[in-house]
Amino acid sequence: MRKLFQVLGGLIGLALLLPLSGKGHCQQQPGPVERPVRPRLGQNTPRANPPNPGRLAPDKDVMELLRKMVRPTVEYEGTQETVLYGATTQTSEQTIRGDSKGHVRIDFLSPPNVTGDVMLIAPGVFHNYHKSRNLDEMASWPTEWNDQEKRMLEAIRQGVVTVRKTGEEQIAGRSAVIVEFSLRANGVVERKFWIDPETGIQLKIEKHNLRGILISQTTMKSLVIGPEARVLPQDFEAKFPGASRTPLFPAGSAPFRTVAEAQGRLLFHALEPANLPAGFQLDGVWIFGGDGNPKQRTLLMRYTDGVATFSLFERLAPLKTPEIPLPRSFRNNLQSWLKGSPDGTIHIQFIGHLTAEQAEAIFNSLH
Amino acid sequence: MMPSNATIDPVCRETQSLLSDYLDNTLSARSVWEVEKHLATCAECTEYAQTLQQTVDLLHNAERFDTSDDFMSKLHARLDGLEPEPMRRTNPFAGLRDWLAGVRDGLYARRVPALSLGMATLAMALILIVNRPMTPGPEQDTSQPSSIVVSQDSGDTLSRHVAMTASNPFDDPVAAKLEAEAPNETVGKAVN
Repeated sequence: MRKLFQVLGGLIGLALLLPLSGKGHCQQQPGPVERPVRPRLGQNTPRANPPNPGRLAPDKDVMELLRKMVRPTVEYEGTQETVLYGATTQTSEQTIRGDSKGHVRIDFLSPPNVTGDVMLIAPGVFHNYHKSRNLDEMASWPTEWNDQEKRMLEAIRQGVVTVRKTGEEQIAGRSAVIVEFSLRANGVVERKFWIDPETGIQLKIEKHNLRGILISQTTMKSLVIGPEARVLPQDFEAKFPGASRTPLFPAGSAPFRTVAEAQGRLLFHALEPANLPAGFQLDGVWIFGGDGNPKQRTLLMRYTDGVATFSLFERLAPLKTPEIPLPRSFRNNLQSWLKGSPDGTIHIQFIGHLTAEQAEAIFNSLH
Repeated sequence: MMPSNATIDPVCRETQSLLSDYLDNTLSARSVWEVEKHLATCAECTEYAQTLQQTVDLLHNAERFDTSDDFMSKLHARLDGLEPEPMRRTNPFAGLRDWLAGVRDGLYARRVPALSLGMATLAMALILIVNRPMTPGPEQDTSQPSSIVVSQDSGDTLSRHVAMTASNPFDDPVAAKLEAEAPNETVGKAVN
């Protein structure tokens, strides 16, 4: 009995001490948070080349090629391979069909976790069908969302992004012109496209992160164009028997231009990053979720430099807590992490291809 | 203290069953995402995860002692030789004295790993009891069960990221989808 009392006493003593350690205790209030000083844009970004403040007239042929790539002139059917680089290399094969109206259908053949999945991309609508869950995730985009190409071209005209033809190459039996996108601020290559100049079909795309490191590439392996491709209108219909459908965005809702415009529909003070990587600016603000319950509305802020994008999702925290003790998740080079705001009232999620330092700087500059 | 299995929300039960593997970083990418998605909106499971993490940290930090090769044989020999101790309680304050002595010993001396293990386990139970809010906090929404909150509002941000990538003709939606559904071995590492 004596030993039992001793052990119980010891346990209670330890339990009383534990909350004093503070970390992770839900009721503990954080100290005052210093508002970060707004740094100059690009302060943390390495500069490979000095920026040129002047505007350069974009190559008209290249601009025309890019417009053609958005709307190829013929129907086509092919097989393509995607390679994801990073901690491990992941490879995927797909078939792809497209028409001259902006419709694209991608059927995933591998790897096993996405085999049978289908992507349908069309003006105004996107479907991502998951065969294993028989789930059709759908995004219905208002007209403005299709202006992405105009914004991109505008970014080129404004000199945020530089495009240039860097060579030619044979891909899947077709001649391809290589077009390179690089940031004017630091000269880092962000995208490379291999475009069939005759049809506008994108034969290969390379994505690089903001340090210029290759993170993925998708390459056409075989291609049939024109009537021989036997592309039918019904190929682009979202018919997935028995599938449940999840709308990812409210249909027909236009994005807000600024966070201030959206603030009136939120029950929390939205936090915006003061520190953005060079060339990045707010691309749009959306509010979704919370049908009938404003507490559950989620704010989405999308930032772009004209080529790369990252997203910040904010929503009211369900319970006041200093910080969600979750580790960051990295999927290859894609960063996706969830954190609590300093005062614990908002949950913030970041998704994008920035470097870890840049993402951290963004979080630390939220105000 | 968590509710019994009979009353707990099925999503919470599923999440809690995965938490140990989640903290060990052995879950698939999809499962990690599901767990994080649920934790983002469920205060109880977040609190449970915090407590579990504290316990794991406590066990990792517990002092370890090596015993001699003949420790177990000596222990068994001593146990075999023990006589049952008669019950005696002459001083009414002996219990309090013993309790205080236990507190002192518990705070200043971790003499055997077994005691540390027991202390950590019971401390976890005590923290659950002490920290559990009696009423919902001001920001906690109780109008809908947490499982609906997850499915309607907080989850699928990666899916939305893929959808937005697909809206950009200068991006690669296939790569975005593969990243969003990357298998476990690519999680937790980054190349920048």
